[in-house]
Amino acid sequence: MADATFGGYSRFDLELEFVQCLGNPAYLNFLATQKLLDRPDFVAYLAYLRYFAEPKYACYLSYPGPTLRALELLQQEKFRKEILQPTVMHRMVEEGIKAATGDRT
Amino acid sequence: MDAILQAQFQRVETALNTLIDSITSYNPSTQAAVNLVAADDELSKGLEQLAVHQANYARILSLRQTVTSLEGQLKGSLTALADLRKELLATPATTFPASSRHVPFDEVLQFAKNLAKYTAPSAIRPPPAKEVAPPEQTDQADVNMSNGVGTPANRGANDDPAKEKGDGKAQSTLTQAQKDWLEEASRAPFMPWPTDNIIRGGALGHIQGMINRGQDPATVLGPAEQEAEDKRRAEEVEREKQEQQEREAEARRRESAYVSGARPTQPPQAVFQGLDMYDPDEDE
Repeated sequence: MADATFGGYSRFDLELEFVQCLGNPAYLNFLATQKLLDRPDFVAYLAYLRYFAEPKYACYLSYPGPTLRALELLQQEKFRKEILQPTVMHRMVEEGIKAATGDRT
Repeated sequence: MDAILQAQFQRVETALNTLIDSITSYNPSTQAAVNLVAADDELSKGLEQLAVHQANYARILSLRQTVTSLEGQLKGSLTALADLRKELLATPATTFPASSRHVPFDEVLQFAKNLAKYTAPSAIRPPPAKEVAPPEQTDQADVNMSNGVGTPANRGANDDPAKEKGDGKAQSTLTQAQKDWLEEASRAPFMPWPTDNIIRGGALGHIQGMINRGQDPATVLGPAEQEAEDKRRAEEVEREKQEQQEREAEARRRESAYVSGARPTQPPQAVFQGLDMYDPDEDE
């Protein structure tokens, strides 16, 4: 079962890619507009993806900071509702960039 | 040495005096002359011996000097060795307390190295007190302007020699600073997460493309499965080819049985050559 591929990619490959895409606030906004964040099975999947916080899986992340931060935020329902608004998304983009450039203002 | 020379000088003097006396007393004795010559020879030999003696003495002195210097070196080395040993024993070795956690620092460093590319833009300078806007904003116009403002301010001392170099050369060539600035302006703004292009170019985007084209991703095989599939097909083709060959060999054997059966009847039929309609090679 673990060897099964979908579209030529293993399940871990696809989950790794997806979880890192969550680091992009624009993508989160897109998911919200698709009403995906309201579905309980999707929310359960996001909770399941928290295994990437463990060191033995986290070492595969190329963008660990934004990825894990977004993952934690997504566990909160308030955030899932608010990320639908573009202003919130833009603020998240700004904060992400400021954090990356080490701007402590 | 001196005594020897003294004796020889004495002998020369005596011989000389004897000769002089013998000459002044009008009684020249050749023996005295011979004695004198002999004494002179002895003296020469003595002088040579003196030269050798002095050379030896000089050598002894130099060797003594070498001995003292080497001794000094030896003493120095031994003291240095003793000091080092003391120092070595005195340096405290770090012992890990029992409560510390094992940290695979080399893995951590490797991880940090891999992440560096994605964490901050490559031309990053930490924003100092002066107004250097970070070169990543979502607005493209801001990017160009902030780069234009930021880059000369940051390049400081490199600017003047670069500018002079630029004036000296032909107009078609640009200085390194200008080339870098152009490249920065044209580069897309940096994001510390995968951008839309990257997402679309990844595995998920690829699968989305397959779905859009109507191809079911579940039927697409992974690389390992594809290899297994290819190998199986190759084996099947091989097997079929072998069977085909076997069948052909069978057929040929049957034909040859026909031929050997038909040959004895050929000579009697030579008369009917023209009417011979039977062709042994023909296989219905």
